[in-house]
Amino acid sequence: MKVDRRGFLKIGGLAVAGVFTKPVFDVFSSLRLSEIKPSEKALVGHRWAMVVNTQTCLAEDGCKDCIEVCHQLHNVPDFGNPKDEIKWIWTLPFKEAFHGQEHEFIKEDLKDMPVPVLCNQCDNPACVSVCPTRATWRREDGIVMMDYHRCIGCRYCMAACPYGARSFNWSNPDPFIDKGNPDFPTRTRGVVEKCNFCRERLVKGLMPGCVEACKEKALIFGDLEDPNSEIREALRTHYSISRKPNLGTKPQVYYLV
Amino acid sequence: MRLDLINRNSRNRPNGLVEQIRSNRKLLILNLVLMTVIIILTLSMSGCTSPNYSTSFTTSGSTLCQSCHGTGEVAYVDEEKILEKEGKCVLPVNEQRDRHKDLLHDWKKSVVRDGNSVYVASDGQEYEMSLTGTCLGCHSNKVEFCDQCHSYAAVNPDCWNCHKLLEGDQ
Repeated sequence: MKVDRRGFLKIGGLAVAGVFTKPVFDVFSSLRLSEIKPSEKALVGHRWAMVVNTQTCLAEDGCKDCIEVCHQLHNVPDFGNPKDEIKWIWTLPFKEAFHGQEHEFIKEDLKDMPVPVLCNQCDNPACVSVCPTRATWRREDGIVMMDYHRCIGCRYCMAACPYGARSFNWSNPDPFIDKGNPDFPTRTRGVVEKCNFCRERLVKGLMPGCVEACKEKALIFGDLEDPNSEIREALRTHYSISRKPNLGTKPQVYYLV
Repeated sequence: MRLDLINRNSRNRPNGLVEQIRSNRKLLILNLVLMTVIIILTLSMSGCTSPNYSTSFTTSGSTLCQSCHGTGEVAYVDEEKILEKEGKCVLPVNEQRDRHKDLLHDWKKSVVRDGNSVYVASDGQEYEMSLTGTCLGCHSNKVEFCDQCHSYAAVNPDCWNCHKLLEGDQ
């Protein structure tokens, strides 16, 4: 067989390339890429919701267990004046919380009864549609999340939310945090915040802080898509109302009255 | 005919420096040697990304390395000082130096946006994706571990405004 110059160069080139093939393959065969996955312990839901049993709730007697635990877990500052107040869960008199669902002659003890209120994690959240930076959005499992990194503090969401569930940090909250929780980030000046249904606890397989803190088990948290869940049972067997249902936001916090 | 003319013209045209080099063989060889040296130097610099880079550099940075990375004393500190706990990092040291910011950005995105919380390293070890929990759990000395490089590189990341250490460590 006669090999001309062109053929010789071709064969030679291939041979040289072949020498380098094995080390390259070795590198790639030993390479295992890192991956990111959800936690196995995480509680998985398709539509998280909460039920507040106003009959067993002791807010009337001055119980603030759920509020204190929540605000401690999430580094919620106490500015000490109502103008700057930051609240994730708080109480409102029945007539204010359910404005339009009460009347002049409503049961006397119900009228001024304090009711725990929090972000309703709406199915059709007004805050999400107005956010210009997509710093807030509704997750697949129904939680209306916030990305504090992305919040520019325009407060459109606060104007849009009919429940007043969002608060704005008018100044640096750090000095006003009583007992900090290092496992949860704090916020900075110029950021809006609200209840997140304890997203960070759900991934660890824990129930929301307020639910765990309630002595009377007046708060029930669960998955509405699961027909056997405790929350579905409570809604099936009791009469329940929600806040401002006529606005079409489809709030996911229900109240047993 | 025309080709001949053009060739002849270009040959006759005085060609300045190029022509001089062509005529001077010594200069040509010197040029070749210089080019080779430059190529070898470039290759050795790109060795900074090789896995041996971290071990070779932390012992003593040569002047070549320092031209890019600064003097070792200012830019990087002893590994012993920055690791409070025994253990392995989620990525090799050299990769972390280059792209810890990308890693943290990816973690933030997948934790906040996608709801994932576990990072599986290339060796199969699982970590919780948490700046305060996982990263600062080992590298708790912020001043010596984080600030030293950041102030050297004149960058001001605001991670710690919200992701804080325990009160005593601040």
